[in-house]
Order: sequence, then C-alpha cells, then structure tokens
Amino acid sequence: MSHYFKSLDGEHRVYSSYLLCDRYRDILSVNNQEPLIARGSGLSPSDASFGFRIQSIDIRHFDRILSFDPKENTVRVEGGISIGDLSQFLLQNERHLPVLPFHPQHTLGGCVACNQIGLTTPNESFKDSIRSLKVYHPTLGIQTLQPGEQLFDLTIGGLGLTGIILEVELKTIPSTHWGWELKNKPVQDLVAGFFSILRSADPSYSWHMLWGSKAEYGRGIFTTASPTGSHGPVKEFTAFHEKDVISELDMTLFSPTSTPLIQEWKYYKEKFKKPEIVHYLKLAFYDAEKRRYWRAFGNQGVLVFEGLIKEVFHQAFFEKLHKLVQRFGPTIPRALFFKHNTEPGLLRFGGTGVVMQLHLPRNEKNRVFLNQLIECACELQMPLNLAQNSCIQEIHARKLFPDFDKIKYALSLYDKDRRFQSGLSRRLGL
Amino acid sequence: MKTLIIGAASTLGREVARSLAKRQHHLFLVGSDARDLEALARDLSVRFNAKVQYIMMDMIALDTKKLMKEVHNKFGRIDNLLCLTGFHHEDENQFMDEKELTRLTLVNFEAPVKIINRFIEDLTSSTQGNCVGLGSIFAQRGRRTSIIYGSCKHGLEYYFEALRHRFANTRCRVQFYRLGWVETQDSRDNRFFKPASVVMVAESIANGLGKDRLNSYLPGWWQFVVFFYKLLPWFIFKRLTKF
Repeated sequence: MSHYFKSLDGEHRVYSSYLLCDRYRDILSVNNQEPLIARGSGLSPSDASFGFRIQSIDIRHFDRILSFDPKENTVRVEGGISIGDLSQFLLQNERHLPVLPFHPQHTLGGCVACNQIGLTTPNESFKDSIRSLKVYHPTLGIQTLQPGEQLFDLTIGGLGLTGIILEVELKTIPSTHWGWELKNKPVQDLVAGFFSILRSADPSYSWHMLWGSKAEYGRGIFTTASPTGSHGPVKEFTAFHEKDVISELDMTLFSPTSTPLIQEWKYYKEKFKKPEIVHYLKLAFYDAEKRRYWRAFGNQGVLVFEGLIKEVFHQAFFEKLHKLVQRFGPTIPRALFFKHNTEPGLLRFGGTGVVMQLHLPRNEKNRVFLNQLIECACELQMPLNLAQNSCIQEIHARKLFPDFDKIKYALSLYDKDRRFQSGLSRRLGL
Repeated sequence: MKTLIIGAASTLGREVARSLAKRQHHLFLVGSDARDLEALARDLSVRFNAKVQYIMMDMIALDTKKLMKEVHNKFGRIDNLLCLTGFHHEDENQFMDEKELTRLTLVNFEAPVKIINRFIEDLTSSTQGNCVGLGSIFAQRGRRTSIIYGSCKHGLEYYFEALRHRFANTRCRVQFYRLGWVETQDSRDNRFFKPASVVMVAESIANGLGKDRLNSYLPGWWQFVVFFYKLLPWFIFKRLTKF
C-alpha cells in the first residue's frame, strides 16, 4: 500500500510503501527486497521513519504489556506501545518510567531508536532504563539483546537501523509523590537562564524570547519544579492520547508580527502566575495538551533545533546566536532550555550542559538561519541531537560524531545488505 | 460473563477483548496466530487482571467440534459469542483462483455460521447470551471491487437476521454491525473518509452487548452515506470504479 508521508518539519514529503502490521506474522513475513524502516507515531521532526522507496512498517498495533514485576520494578512491553499508554498503566501501579519524552504519543520503539531524553531527568537517557531488547531483522531473525552487547549499543539511539524493536524490558520507578510545585521567575537574558538551570538541583527549564533590542533580547521565564510530597491533582490529567499534532492549516499563525505579541502576553502571564501544583506526568510530558501550539505552525511544518550548550562555550555560542538572530530575524516561537547530563556514545546525544530546543515555522528565512546555527554548533563542537534536528546533514554528523565511520562500518558488518534505511539515515550517509 | 471471541488476534478483536476485559468478562480467545494470542492474553491479565484462555485455530482449517470441546473443557458453557472474523482480498476485480475464493467464503461466511451453529445451545441456554457478527458497508450494494467479500457479508447479514428471529423467544440477543472504514490493516488510504478509531468501534460493540442491534452502522454516520449510495441511479453507479 502506498502512503503519503510528511515529516513534522514539513521538509520531507513522499509517497512511499507502507505496511500497517497488526500481527507477528505480518512483521515476520516481510521479505521483499525493498529497504525497510519501523514507524511509530511519526512524531520525529525529520524523515526518520520513512523515505523514498523505503517501506515503512507501522508497529503501533504492537502495544501489549507482556509482564509487570512490581518486586523487580520492571515491565516488559511491545515496541509499538505509546509512552502515554504505558504511563497510564504504571500510574495505576504507582510507578513511572525513569525518562519520559516530551509527548505521550511517542512510541516506546521510537524512544529507544532515538534514545529519548526527558525534561525532568537530566542525568538519564532512555538507554539507562532498558534491561533487554528484542529486535527483528528479516535476514537474522529475532535477537534478544542485553546491555553490554555491541548490537544493544547500536540499537539504542541507532535510528532504527538495526531492525524492528519488538519488545523492551524497562526499569520503572516507584513513586507516591505525584504532585510537583512549579515556581516561575523572570530571567533577564540567556546567560541568566543558562546558569539558573545549571545551578538548580530540582528539575527546571526556562523559555526565552529571541527578538527585540539588546535590553529585551533573551528575556524569559525560569521555572523550577519541586516535589510537594502529596499525591497531586491526578484528576486533571486525562490527556495522554493527544493526537493530531500535525495541522492541515495552510498558513502559520506564528508570523514575525504575531510571535512577539504572543510571547509578550505569555511572559507577563507566567511572570505573575502564582506557584501551582501539577501532576508529575503533566510536568514531564511538556508538549502534551499543547494542541493549539502545534497546530499554529500549520501545514508547512515546524523546524526544530536541539543542541547541548556546554559551560565552556556558552558565551561564544550565545554571541553567535545573537548575531545570527540580528542578521536573519527568524521567528522563534519556542526557545526552551533544560538541563542534561548523560554520557554521549555512538550516535547518541549527550554531555553535560543545558539543552536548547528551538521551534521555528518552516520558511526559507528560518531554514537559512537554522543552517547557519548548525554550522556554528559544528564549529564549537556542540553536541546535536540527530533525531531532533531538521536541517542536519552528513557533513555535520561527521564533524560532531568522531566514531561516525566506525558506526557505519559496524552497521554494515551486522547488516550486510543494509535492509534498514530511512530518509534521515540516507541524508546522514549512514 | 464468559465470552468467546473468534478472530481475537486481529486489531479489532484485540481492542474488543480489551473492552470486555475492562468489564470483567472471562475471555476465551480464538485466532490464527499463537504468538499474538499469547501476547494478548498476557496483556489482558497484566492490565485488567482478567481470566483469559486461548486456542490457535485458523478459520481455513476450522474444526468446530474440537473448538467446542476445548472451550467446554477449559472454560465451560459460554454466554457471549463474538465472531469478528473477516478477510478482504486486495484485488477482487481481477481473476481469482479457487483457493483464494474458498478462503474468502470460508473466513467471511462459512466459519462464523459453523461456529454459531455449534454453540447455539450454549447461547440459548444462557440467561444473558449475546451473539455478535460483523458485516460491511461494502455489502450494501453489489459492486465490482468486492464481489465475493460483499456477497459473503451480505449472506452473513441474512443469517444474523434469521438468527435474531430464531432467538426471539430466548434471552439471547443478536447484534450485527455494518462496519465502515476502521483503522485496521485492511483499511486503505481514502481521500474522502477518515478511518474510524478501532477503540471507538470496540467500545461500541462492548456497549451493545445485551441489546438487539441488527444492521447498525459503525460509525453511525455511515448510514447516511450508504443511504445516498443506494439511491444512485444505475447509469451513474456503473461508472464508479473505486467505490
């Protein structure tokens, strides 16, 4: 069956082969010679789950919980389950996953393939929660992988290039404290936001306004979350399955005129907001319940940038960013900062510092700005998240990942025919 | 409530099983893939603490005697029978070999009829029995793209109507749904109609237990589409190639 695919950033649109699997025999009988790639919810900003003349295998119907061991704090589930669904189940058992992605609709397989990071757990990535994996490859069959094995390492954060993730055994964290208090504080500029996050012991994030004069530029709100010890307002939390992130509107509501107005309104709203208690999952799923925000980008898509600012080069980066903003005048509805501190490895995003996430409506000006920003990041050796960057190319990946050729070699040793490919992997030359 | 689900390994079967497990039904699942059934049984017992048993049986090699024996031995007499089997061939417009034709008629018509026939005593003796079948909007007017499938489903519709008459003086209720496009493996990309959510359809089927629902459309708005579709005059209808 042919299907029209569009990435979240709108940059990649193709008609390609698609197979919605609902039984094991469908997956296990995939034997045509076309390259393959597994597809979850399709929420990656880039073309990580489809590509030209690549068959996308939709595994969302593989959403079963196979076992749950409260004593060992583990859960074994299929790769197509959404994180929201799994969290809902774990919540009933007073547990949660150690690392939660920004949106509950992400599938578990997608989180493993992209080694998702979370807002509330700076010291962990998805890799740290995984006990074992089952991966299917048409030539090599079903393989069970344990930590320490090379293929396990290649699969996590491996962009789905080692096979279809069928099952995952995960660590869970028992918790009875679901209520977290959010306190907002205005910050003057990016540097203030950066250091507030670095010094904060509790989970924290800040958002900034990247426009205006020198005095106004970089203003924002710093939010810190601390556990209250209470159960928290569980009742308000119902929107785990928020769908339709992608809008069909032909225009974006984020224009150079409207964006500063919207941000200014948000700034004052947040500045004078009283501390509020929210549910932990609501805090972790930062992008849930933001349907209007996502839809405001329209059909043209949202360009995404995600990179890690380290303390050693933060000053230089912020200066370069300011110059680029002055030169290109991009529209940036979101500039979000949050703490991160994990070990990088292979194609995995990591390091110690503050993650900067930018969202821009897709247009030529913003694309040029983003390309320049990626160039700057490469000059400063700033780690970039391969799965979360719209404009990243092979040349950038080679500069940023010293083991790039080794990974490519390891992949070709494991999978000689390179059955698993995606638009993203082709673009990165993997 | 003891419920037997035929075609439980399919997307819809799985969701219906979840909806019923949520309502504390004891389930006996029948499907063509043991791996899926095992995973589903585990899922239902982990999520809902449901009592679930299963047996692998392909509708093509159906042995109703063996099925009944297994069900009665492991499970006892059933209250509800849900026949959720269905199989749609990609290209019925082209020449179809006899093997494929037999498969289509077996899965879509013969198997449900044989199974219901075998369990008819269980259903009539139950104090709150239900017999559920699935039809299709494709069966509402004969058309070139689903000749065999449509005929089978139309035949099944007739069978369920007769069954309803047969059960009229018993406590067993009959539900037959005409399904529109649902988000399953067989639903194709359609420019005009968005496939309905499987969860929504499954919930409707589960909620319908205990009620007499013959030829209800799922989702309900399909009845208007089919109404106008049936009214199309022949000189227009014969020109339609896709619908």
